[in-house]
Amino acid sequence: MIHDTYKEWILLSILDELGDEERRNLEAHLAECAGCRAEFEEAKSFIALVGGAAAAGPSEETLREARRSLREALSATGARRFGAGSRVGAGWFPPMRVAFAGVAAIAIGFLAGYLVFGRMEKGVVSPRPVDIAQSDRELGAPAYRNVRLANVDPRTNEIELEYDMIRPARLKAGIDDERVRSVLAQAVMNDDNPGTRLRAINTIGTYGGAPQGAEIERALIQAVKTDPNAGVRKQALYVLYRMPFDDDIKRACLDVLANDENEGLRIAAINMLAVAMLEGRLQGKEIVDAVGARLQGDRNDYIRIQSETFLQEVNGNAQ
Amino acid sequence: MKEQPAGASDRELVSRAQRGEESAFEELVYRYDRKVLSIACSFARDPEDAKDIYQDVFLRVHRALPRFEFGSEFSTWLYRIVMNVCLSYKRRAAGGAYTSLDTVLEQNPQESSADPALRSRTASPDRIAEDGEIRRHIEDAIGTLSPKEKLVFTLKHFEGYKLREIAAMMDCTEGTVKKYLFTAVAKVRRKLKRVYL
Repeated sequence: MIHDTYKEWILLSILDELGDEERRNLEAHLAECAGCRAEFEEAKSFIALVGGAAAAGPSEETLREARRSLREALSATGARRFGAGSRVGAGWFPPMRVAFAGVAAIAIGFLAGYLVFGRMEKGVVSPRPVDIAQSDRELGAPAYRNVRLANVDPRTNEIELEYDMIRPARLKAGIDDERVRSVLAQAVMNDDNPGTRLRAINTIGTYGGAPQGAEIERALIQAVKTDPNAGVRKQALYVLYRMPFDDDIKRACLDVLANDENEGLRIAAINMLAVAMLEGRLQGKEIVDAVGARLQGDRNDYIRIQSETFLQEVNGNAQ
Repeated sequence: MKEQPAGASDRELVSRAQRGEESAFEELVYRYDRKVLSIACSFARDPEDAKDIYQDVFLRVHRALPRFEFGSEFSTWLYRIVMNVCLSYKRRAAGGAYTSLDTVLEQNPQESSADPALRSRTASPDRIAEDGEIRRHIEDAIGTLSPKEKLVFTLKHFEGYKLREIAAMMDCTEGTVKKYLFTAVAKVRRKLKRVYL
C-alpha cells in the first residue's frame, strides 16, 4: 500500500510537483527500497520518452489561418467583424440557399440561380484593377464558388445547395469614396489570392494619400498581423508606415517586431519604429521595451545589432 | 494564465469589448490565442482539429463575453471554455490516423515482426522517437484515455502546466487532477511498456 503512495510521489517528484517534506521522505525511502528505485528509473525514462513526443507548438502559419477562419466565422454569424470594422462579410459574399427540384436539375438550378438571384447581390469584388472615376456597373456573368450540397429531402428528392455567387463588377469613383475604400479593404482582408491582396494594398499605397479612413487602416493592420503571405504583410506594413501613426499602427508594428517569424519583417518593423521615433512621430516606453527584448532575445544577429543601434540613438536623443 | 501581458489589463479590455469596442476583443484574442491554439494542438494532435477547437473557443467567448461579470479572472474563464471545448470535441475523422497499438501487437505477436516499431525495441528511445514510430504509439496510447485523462496528460506533459494551474482551468481540485494524471500515466505506460521496454 505504502509503495503505491511512493509510486505516485515518484511521478510527482519527476514532474517537479512534490512538496519539500514529501521529497525528503521519498529520498529516504529510495535509499532503502530497490523496487522503488527501479520504479523511479522507469518512470523517469517514461517521462523523457513522452516529453520527446511533444508536438512542436503551432506554426505562425497555422495561427494565421486560425485567426483568418475565426474572422470569417464571426463575419458569417453576423457578428461585428473581429479585426476589422463593419458588418461586411455577409453582405459582400452572401451564402445563398436555393432549393431546386430533382437531383438531375443541378445544372438547371445553376441557371435558375443566375436568373432569379443574379440581380439580388449587394456587392462584389472585382478581380480586375479598380478604375477610379464616378460610377459603378456590373460586368459579365456571375461565377459560382464553394458549391456544396446542404441538404436532401428523400421524400421529394429535392436538394438544397449552398454557394457563393460572385459577379465581376467595375467601380469608378475617387479614392476617398466609401465604396472604393470598402472594396479595397475587403480585397486586402478576404481575397484568397495573395496577388490580389497585394495589388489592393499597392493601390491604397499609390493612390491613397492620407488620411486613409478607418476601414482601410483596420484592413492593413489585419493584413500585417494575420496574412499568411510575408510579401503581403510587408507591403501592408510599408503602407501603414506612411500613414499618421496612431496607437493601433504602433501596436501592429510592435506585434510584427515581437511575433513575426519573418526576419525581414522584423527588421522592417524595427527600422520603421526607429525612424518614426527619431522624427518625433512616435513615442512610448513600450517601444523601447520591445526593442530591448529583441536585443536580448532575437535569434537574428542583424536584428540584435539594429536593436542596439536603435536604443543608442533613442537614448542619445533623449540626453 | 501564467502571466499577465503588458498593456491594458484584461479587465479593461473586457469592459471595452462589452461596450462594443471591437479592437479590445481583438486584443484579447491576440493576447491568448497562441496559448489556446497550442493547447488545442497538443490535445487534438492535428492542426485542422486544433483550428476547429480554436475557432469554437473564441466564438463561444465572443457570444458569452457580454454576459461575463468578472466572477473570475478573464483568463480563468477563457481556459475553462478551452477545457470544455476540448472535452466535448469530436474529431473530424473518426478513428484517427494511426493503427491501434493493440492491433499491431495482435497482428505481430513475435518480436521478429515486420513492424518497424517492434523491430526497434532494442533501439534507444531517442532513436525510436526520431523514427516517429514511438510518437505514433504514444499518440495511440493517449487516444485510449478518457477525455479528462487525456486533457490532464497533455496539459502536463506537452504544455508544461503546473497541476494547480490545470485544476484552476478545469475547475476542480488539485487532488482530482492528480487522480486523472496517475490513471492516465498508468494507462499510457502499460501500453508503451509492451513496445519500448
